[in-house]
Amino acid sequence: MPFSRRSFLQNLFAGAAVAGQEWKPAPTVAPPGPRPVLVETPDLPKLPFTIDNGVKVFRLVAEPVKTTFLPERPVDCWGFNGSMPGPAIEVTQGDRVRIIVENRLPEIFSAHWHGLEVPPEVDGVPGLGIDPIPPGGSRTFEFSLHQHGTFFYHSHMPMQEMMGMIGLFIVHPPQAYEPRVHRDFGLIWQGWSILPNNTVPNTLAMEFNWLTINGKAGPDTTPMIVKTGERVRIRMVNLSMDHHPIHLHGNTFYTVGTEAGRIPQPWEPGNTVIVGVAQARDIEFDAVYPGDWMLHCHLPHHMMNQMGSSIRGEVVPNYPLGEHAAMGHATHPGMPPAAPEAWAVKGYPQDMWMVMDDAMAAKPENHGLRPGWSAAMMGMMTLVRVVDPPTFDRIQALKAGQQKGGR
Amino acid sequence: MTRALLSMAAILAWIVSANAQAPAPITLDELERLALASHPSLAAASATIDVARHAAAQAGSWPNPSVSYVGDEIARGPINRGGEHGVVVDQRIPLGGKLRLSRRAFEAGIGEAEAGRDRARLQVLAGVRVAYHMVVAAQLRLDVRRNLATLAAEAGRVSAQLFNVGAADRPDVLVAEMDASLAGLDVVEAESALARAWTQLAAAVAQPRMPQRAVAGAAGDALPELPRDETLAAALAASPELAEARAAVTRAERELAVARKVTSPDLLLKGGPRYNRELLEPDNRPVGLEWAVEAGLTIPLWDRNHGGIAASSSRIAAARAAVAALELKLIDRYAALYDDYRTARRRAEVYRSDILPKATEAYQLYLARHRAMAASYPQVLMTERALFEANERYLAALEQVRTTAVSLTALLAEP
Repeated sequence: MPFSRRSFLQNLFAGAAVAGQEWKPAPTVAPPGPRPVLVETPDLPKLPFTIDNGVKVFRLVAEPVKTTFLPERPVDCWGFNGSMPGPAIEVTQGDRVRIIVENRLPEIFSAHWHGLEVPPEVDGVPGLGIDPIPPGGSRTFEFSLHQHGTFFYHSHMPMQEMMGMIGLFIVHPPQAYEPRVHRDFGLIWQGWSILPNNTVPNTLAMEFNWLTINGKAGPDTTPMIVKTGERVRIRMVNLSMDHHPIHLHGNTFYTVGTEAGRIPQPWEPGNTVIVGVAQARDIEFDAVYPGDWMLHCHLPHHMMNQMGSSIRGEVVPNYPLGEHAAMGHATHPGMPPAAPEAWAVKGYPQDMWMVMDDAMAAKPENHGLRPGWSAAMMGMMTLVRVVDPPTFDRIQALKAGQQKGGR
Repeated sequence: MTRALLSMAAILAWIVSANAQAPAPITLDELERLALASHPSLAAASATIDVARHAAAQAGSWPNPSVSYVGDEIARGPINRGGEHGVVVDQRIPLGGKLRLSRRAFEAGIGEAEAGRDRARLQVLAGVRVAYHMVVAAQLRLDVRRNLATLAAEAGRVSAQLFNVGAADRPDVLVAEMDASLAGLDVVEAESALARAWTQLAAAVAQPRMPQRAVAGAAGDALPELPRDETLAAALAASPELAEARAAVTRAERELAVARKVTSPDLLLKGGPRYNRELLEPDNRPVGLEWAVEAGLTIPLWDRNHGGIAASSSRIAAARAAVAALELKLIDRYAALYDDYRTARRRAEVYRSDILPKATEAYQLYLARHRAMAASYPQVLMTERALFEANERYLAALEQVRTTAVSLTALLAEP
């Protein structure tokens, strides 16, 4: 193994552990082997395929999708195969793929393979290289993949993009990147404008009140679960109207890839990376610090949900309106009282603290979180949970049980 | 301004096309002719003139003579033999021009009645004209309301479409639907107002069962221009009410002349033949046929009609005061009407020259931009609604200008 910053740190921290400074456990080395680990896409399915004479055949259906950003917050959007974002396509460099795209939308549609170097007739720009697919119609796209990295597919009708028509298109190299990772996650970041008494996104609006990761808003985003010491990759794709400065708490990561593939070393460390519109950024880090670490867009307005309807009628009903009503949210049990004469302070109130119901977002991946955790999670927020092996196993068992029982 | 006129013309054109199968719109001239031909108020006024005319003729008539039997010295006896029996004719001969004066007094009543007829004519015509302008305005208002209702329904449809793409919220759709319902009610109200205005017009032309039909008239017609002082002077000069009041003064003056002559001497003539049966003639013959004649004068000794003269003088004073009071009342009414007229005219002018062209241009700009995919359809609808609402307010101003102009030129204390 050539010398690298990671190996340097690994050796450094191994030494520190020997010296008795156990605040930072040493990273573990990924198991050897040529194949990369599969990508985990929280809250999103993978698109299955069949093999036809060596070609991987996918069936992608563009269609309206009913989903929820939060429990009891229904949204009518558009996606693929019943999912918004669409199911992730995961293939390997050198594969030949045939993607049969069916249009079940009430209007024309065209699929674009973002970042893939494919012939213009399958690039999916309607009018330029291809005719749009009419409602009820279908088209087959077949091409070979000579790249590897984090790509995505989306409708090439701009407003259809804003209705949610995107999905991950992961192309692994035949051999895993070095240093190898134990966990590989894929996240899609989106922004939405939805009126309080409507379920349909306004794709023409420029003000966004719902911010989602893989189609869920905090606290309903599903945490990424890793074991202490594992190396983690997170692939992030932004298909919204804003660039998002994505910040990871408590860890230093390296940006190792863009929407065009792997970045050659050396990588620069950071804890915040801007993922621009239509860009992808892959970050990697050694999860050596146990804890529940927030990964979120640092734009303040992206760290909250639509206050009016989510608080007053749907998500946490029956809380009385209080002195914070002017700011668009309610006072409710568990909320520390304001200071005396708070209203004498210009600018008061500014806090958007909302004690949610943890049970609302109950799922195996949230097992063991501190009570009241959901109050911290709004909008474009999710967690990287670095847990010990027993907790990891417990969560996996819970997930298995849930899958068996059907969520 | 041209755009505004075109807009108004378009509204009228719509009305015309919508009534292509209906009878031709009736004009104001036709309506006035109908009223003048058959309005009972005019018939009553004409009859009143006849009353006065006949009364005047009667007033100049001589008093009738009286014929009476006269018996005298009716007694038994060889001489009297039953007395004298004859016929006496009495005739009072008015002197001092009493008959002429009385006739003149009643002839003043004819003038008064004729002024009353003119007043009735003016009332009828003013009523027809006001009712006509109200019907025209009601027609145009109904058209605007129908357009607004169509627009509101369209807005409701568009709101539903916007809701479907998340650009409108459910309350927006509910409000749009509510607006559409209200606009529908506004149409019903405008239809009722038109029917009511038509009924009033039919009554004004004394054709209460005249079937409803379109009335010719356009909002874009020239506005009546009435200078304040000249119009008042003309209205006062032509006022049949003032003429009627002045005729009453004349009548009172002539009645005073009559009153002054009431007690002047009349010649009283009396006479006739009679047969005298008395045997007073030679040969013991009866006197036979003889004539009696008596002439006399009334003497205004006790009754010089002071009270009647004074009463007549007072009636003159009262009549003259009534003329002045009426003139003041007319001026007062004119002032109020003119204020309304001037305000409404200014409003109509501003709408015609400023607001409607801008509202039209705003609508057309958004419409053109919408057709170029650069403006949203709700913006088109909002400016179109603003245009229609401005048109409705313009129509209200026009209605007031025209009805007050009628009232100013046909100035009546008792319309």
